[in-house]
Amino acid sequence: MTLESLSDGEIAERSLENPEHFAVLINRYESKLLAYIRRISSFSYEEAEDILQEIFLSAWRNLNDFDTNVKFSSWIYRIAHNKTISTFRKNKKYEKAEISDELFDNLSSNLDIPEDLNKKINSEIAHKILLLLSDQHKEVLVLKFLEEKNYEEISDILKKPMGTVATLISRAKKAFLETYKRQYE
Amino acid sequence: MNKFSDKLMAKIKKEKIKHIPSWHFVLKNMVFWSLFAVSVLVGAMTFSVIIFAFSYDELEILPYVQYHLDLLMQILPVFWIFTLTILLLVSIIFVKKTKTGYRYSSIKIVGLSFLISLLLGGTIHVLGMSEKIEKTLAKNIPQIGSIGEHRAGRWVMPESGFLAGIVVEKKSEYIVLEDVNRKSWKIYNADRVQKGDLIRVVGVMKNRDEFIAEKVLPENERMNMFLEKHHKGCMMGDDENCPIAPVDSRPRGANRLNF
Repeated sequence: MTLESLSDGEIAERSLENPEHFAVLINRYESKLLAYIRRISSFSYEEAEDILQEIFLSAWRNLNDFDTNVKFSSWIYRIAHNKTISTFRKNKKYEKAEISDELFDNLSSNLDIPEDLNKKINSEIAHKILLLLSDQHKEVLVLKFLEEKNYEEISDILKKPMGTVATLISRAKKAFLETYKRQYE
Repeated sequence: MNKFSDKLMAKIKKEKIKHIPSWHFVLKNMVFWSLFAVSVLVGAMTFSVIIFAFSYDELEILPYVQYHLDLLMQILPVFWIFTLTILLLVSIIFVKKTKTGYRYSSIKIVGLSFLISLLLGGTIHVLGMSEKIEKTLAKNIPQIGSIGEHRAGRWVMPESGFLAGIVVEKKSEYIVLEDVNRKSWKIYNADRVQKGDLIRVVGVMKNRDEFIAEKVLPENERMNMFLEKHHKGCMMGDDENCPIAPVDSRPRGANRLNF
């Protein structure tokens, strides 16, 4: 059985004894977390990489706190979320960042955007609208429709009850459409 | 391994960055669950005192709340209710700080704390410990004040509509009541009492000597003890002049006056 065939949780446990195994987890999550950081903060690539390093170092230090009852991806996304948001709030930046068309399609199809509006909103506009939303609404929309996390994972990442997550997503979808109408109509 | 992971692993090795030991996380979790348990326990004690406060049999006065709004504030053990509320809110913080506490909504946490506090508090009261808890706290924190003294003390506030004492005379239009300060009052609308009765009266003070009753309440054990303790004749240790027969010696239905 090779290391690559093991689950994230199993590798995380083994990393406590053998530090080299942690590199497998870094490789698995590097690009996903980098994209996530840029979606919720619009940091530049270089800045996002610095934050990514901090995230993995924090994960390394706190590896004994990883609970195997929670998915490793939820645990490390939680660290990523907290680090990114705290850094973003210290250095508020509104540089342009991108949502790919493929991701935009996923976002728009899940936001119940009326047909006529859907034609007007492209990925650039969608990202601008996301940045205008409150942190709470932005977080859940990104996790649900761009990172494609389920409710339980979002609950573990944001440390909120599942009921609260469901309510936030519903409100975030309404806020997205209202913000679009306010800005562009 | 790629460039990024190589760089990171090298940094970990070079700077000898260690894992935070697991006992740190276990201890942190235990501390917050313990704090939650303490808040629930203190909540239970608070609840027992609230139940004790309501055991003063004064709920019969509540119909008069609409006319005496300040009465509601006096009947309700405001300090203890406020304390219980704070404890319930604090329990949310403690649970949310635990490892898995985020999964529960604040309403569920408050509901659970409330329920456990209520059950435990009721048990504490039934075991007769609520009065001891209340008296101990009142003794050590004088600012809180004793519920018993406060409750009974209300009945010597005629300007607020409360009087208590002994019926010393019964006339056709009024009765004469002697309060704990040995002051005599003419009480109107209090026909159904007898000479010698220890009563509590809710009403309106007409002037310095007259009182119009809206409700006459019978004696209760705590009121008797208060009157005994505070009646001017009794306080001087002068048993001959104390009009109230000691509680234990008083046969049921007999004349209360110690003539």
